[in-house]
Amino acid sequence: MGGEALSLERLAIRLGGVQILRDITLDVPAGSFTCLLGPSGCGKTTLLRAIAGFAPPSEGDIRIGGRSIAALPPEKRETAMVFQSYALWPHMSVGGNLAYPLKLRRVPKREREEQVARILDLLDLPGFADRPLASLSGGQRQRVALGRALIIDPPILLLDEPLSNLDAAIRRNLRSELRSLQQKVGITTIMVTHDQEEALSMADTIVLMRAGQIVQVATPEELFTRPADLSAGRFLGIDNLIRGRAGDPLPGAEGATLGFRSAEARIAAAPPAGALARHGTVVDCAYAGGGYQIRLDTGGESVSALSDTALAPGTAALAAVPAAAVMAFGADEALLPH
Amino acid sequence: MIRHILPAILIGAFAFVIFGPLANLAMWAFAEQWFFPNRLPTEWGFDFWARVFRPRAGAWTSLFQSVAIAVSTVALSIALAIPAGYALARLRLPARSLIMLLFLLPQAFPSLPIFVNIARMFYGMGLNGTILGVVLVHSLPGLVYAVWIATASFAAVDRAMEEAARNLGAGPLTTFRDVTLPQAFPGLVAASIFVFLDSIDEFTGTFFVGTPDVTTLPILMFNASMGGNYQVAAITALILLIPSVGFMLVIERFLKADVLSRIGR
Repeated sequence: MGGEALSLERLAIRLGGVQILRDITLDVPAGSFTCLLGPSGCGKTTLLRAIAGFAPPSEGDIRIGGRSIAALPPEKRETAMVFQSYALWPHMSVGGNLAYPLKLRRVPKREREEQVARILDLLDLPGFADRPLASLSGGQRQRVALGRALIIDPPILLLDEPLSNLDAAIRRNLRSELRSLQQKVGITTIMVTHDQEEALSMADTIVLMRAGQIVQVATPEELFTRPADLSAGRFLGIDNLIRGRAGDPLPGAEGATLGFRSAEARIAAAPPAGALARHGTVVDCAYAGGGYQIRLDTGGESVSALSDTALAPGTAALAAVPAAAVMAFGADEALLPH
Repeated sequence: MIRHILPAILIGAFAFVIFGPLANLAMWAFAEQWFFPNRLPTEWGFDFWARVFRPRAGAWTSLFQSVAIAVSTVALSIALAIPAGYALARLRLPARSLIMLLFLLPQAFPSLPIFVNIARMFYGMGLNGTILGVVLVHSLPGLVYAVWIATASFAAVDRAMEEAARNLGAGPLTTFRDVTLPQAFPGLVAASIFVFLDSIDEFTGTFFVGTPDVTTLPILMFNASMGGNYQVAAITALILLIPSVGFMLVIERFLKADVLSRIGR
């Protein structure tokens, strides 16, 4: 097994006069795990479907391992996809679903059965071959769908929000399971998700998309600490935006928009050295498990921070954020260099 | 007490409305003699049954012709309804609702003028009095059921399931055969049953296009009762019940509520 590299060159898609994707250029190295992350409607699923051959590009090229697949019908592309709804075939058993791609490739029956047993072992579902689909739980179906895609040993695996139909606990387990399976098999994987936490915990590379375009391609750490612009930052959980003042401990902070996450901000008695600090009055205090989420009014601006103790509305308080956790955005909303 | 009596009376009246005519029919089928003032037949027996099933009486021929016509009508309607239903369900034709309405149109007009005109056209084409002519006439209402139900059952097939098959290496036709058709199968069975039942007791069209060469069971029944032979009519009616009841039982097994709910969506 193993994966191949995928490259998209100036890909554009138009559907019914609407430009869904424009100028998508992306290189996905062989064997990597890439997440397409973005709000709903940003075109990430369309991009995945374009790679699978379900959304014809109006411009540009798609290459797998050097050969262009842009003009091929879906069945010739060998890009195995796991659908959001799993799209398992209810008129076939678990084994029937897994064996069908092999049947299409005229693999003899004996060998098909061996391969199905092997993939069921890999997915930790031994002996499930004769089970009807209706008897499977959501997580088990998800694994069967994954197995059906992996059984043809494809060069590329495409995952369309594969975990979104599962409840939170199973989702967290399957995240690491999926990631370790991908590393074991070494398959080039592209996953679509709108869940930033999922993308951050699973991907080698995150492709952040917005309005049909790529905003940023970065590692999870880089994306989290250095989002390309203000709205990327907002999407990645930056919930405090304040105007920089002279004396703030950041270069070029004056006049810039400073962003940080509430989780990084603390209510302090005195400002620690080298921290961004704001005085204000408490507007709101809510218990947030292990601490209190405090909202301060700092003279026309609003700042959220965590506190160990509850504070009554109206009291004066000081919120402080370590300078390293603060991101400065310029007038054009782009991230300013450190 | 009152609370129980009223529903009991209502159920009884309801049962009488449904089963009264059927009981009358059953009595006629076994009556040897039944003249006006008598409430019940004066003589019972199987005499007329023997008469109906005598080779010369034509009941066997009629039964055979009826079933052959019904089966051919089902075959023709379903063969047309599968591509039509799939196209209507999938290809997002802009005129989709218009086409669906068009299929209903023959039902909207009074059927007599339509059949008279069809008979006139069929005379010109030499189709009058042929099995093919009758099959074509029966396919007119048959297609309405078949296309509407087929459209609903194809629309009920999740597109992602077809895409999954394409994605894993199946061509469009293989996908249709292995994924779409099996999913839509219950609906198509239901459509076949409706078409079959509609054809087996179709009268007007057969009367205009088929007689006197094609005599289906309803025509035989009509001839018998017009000739005052209620016994023969009743026996023919009972024979007609057999396929109807049989297929009603099959419907129960195959027709799923979620398919029905998508009709005309």
